[in-house]
Amino acid sequence: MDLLINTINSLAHKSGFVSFFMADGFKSLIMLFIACFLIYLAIKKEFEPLLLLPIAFGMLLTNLPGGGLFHPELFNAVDSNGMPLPINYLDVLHNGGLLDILYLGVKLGIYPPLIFLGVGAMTDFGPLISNPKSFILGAAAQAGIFFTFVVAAILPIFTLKQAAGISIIGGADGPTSILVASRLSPELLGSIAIAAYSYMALVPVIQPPIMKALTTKKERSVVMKPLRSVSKLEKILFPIIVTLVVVLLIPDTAPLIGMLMFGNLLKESGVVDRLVKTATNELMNIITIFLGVTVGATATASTFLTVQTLGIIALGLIAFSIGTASGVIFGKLMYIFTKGKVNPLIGSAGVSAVPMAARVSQKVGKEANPANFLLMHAMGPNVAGVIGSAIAAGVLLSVPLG
Amino acid sequence: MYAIRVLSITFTGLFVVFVGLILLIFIFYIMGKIGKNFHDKDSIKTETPIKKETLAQTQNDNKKVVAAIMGAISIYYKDKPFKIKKIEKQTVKRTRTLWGQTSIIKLTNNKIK
Repeated sequence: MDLLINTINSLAHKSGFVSFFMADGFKSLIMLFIACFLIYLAIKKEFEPLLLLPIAFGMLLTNLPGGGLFHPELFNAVDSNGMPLPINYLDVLHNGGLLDILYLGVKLGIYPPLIFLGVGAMTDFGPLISNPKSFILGAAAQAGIFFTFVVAAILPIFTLKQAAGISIIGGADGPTSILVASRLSPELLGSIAIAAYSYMALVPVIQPPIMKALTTKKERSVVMKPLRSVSKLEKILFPIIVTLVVVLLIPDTAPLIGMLMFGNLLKESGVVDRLVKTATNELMNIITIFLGVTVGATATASTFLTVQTLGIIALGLIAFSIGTASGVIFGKLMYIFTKGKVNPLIGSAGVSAVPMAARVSQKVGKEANPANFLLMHAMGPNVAGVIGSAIAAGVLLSVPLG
Repeated sequence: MYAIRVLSITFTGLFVVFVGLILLIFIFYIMGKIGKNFHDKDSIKTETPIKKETLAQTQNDNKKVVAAIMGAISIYYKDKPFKIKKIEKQTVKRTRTLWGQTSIIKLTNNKIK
């Protein structure tokens, strides 16, 4: 009888349920509720479900007491003076759980560029090639990143590196945010990724009021000239030229821009259909699962339930809003300089968030003038925004932030 | 000192982003100028809700007919928006359109802005 009771006792003490009643156990419970809420948003509200669902489930897994799937201490070890120690990869391989091993892909910066490979293979840069002026709008919308960097740097709760990691949310580009955050502020990775993907899903809610506030109905009604046709040669030269120019200008952009443009070259070359299919389907789907679930796993109670997370959520909104506003303002400048030939609404698409932001431009333009068809015009700044945010990320990774 | 550092990073960052993308504008602007001479058979239209057809030959009619698909809607004629005042349906016999032998929307009283 005693043996039976001892066995039950031992099982009960090992049970995760008991952990909820131990010190800080309630925090894990709160994290589980947050994870379930994110799962709800991903499934019911379809908030970027492809990434939010894996992120939310990774969050759920990592906060299950006793699961031992993820050990942040393996990646964030510090010495007696509180200085970060280099990661002992052998230790990770010997003692790590499933998510620790998969997390190496984030830590070593492998997953985001591979996602960019798939994105490149799916993206048509034709609208950008036919209207290179769109690059200006793609650059303007990156103002959100740098404005947020200043605001976050002023706040006493963030270091300069953390400010840089947070500001990249304004690029509205998930893989870029994850790459920069994993390099500069890995302790905030979970919060930054969740904020970035949540706001990307909320682009149709955040952008229209800003776009309408900054433009008149006359400006929103502008019907733009159809884009010129783009030859196959131009489409093939585009990824090669962009890679050469951008990577030579800022070498730290090589992983993102290089893979983005490689994917695009595969697509435009027209001779490697099998590789294109793999890059856009199997490879991208596998990496999406690995990336999402491991980024979610970094959102442990100790790193997520902090004042910093609230700050990140607020700053993310500022970053998106300023990015949208600066894109529209530059669109207005182009409207003035071209004597009304450019619809300023396409500027908001410069924040990246492909193709959601371009669809928002189309929708708002159509509300003002039902005969308006801005989608293809907005795709130019939209894909320029991807390149722009990768350049901004390269800049933040290049400058010494101490 | 800290503020100066933050601002210098910010302005340098914005400057580099603009320089990089403006450099690309120049390259692709020039490429576009050259590219016009290189359009090959495989050239791809980046926007095609612009199907324009003239039935003058088949209908002995000087009216321009625009067939647009996918509910789309920006219709252009000679790079100017096409204002449709009145639309009446008319069955066209022995006229093969891109989408098969179907009824074509005939636009009358077309005015070009």
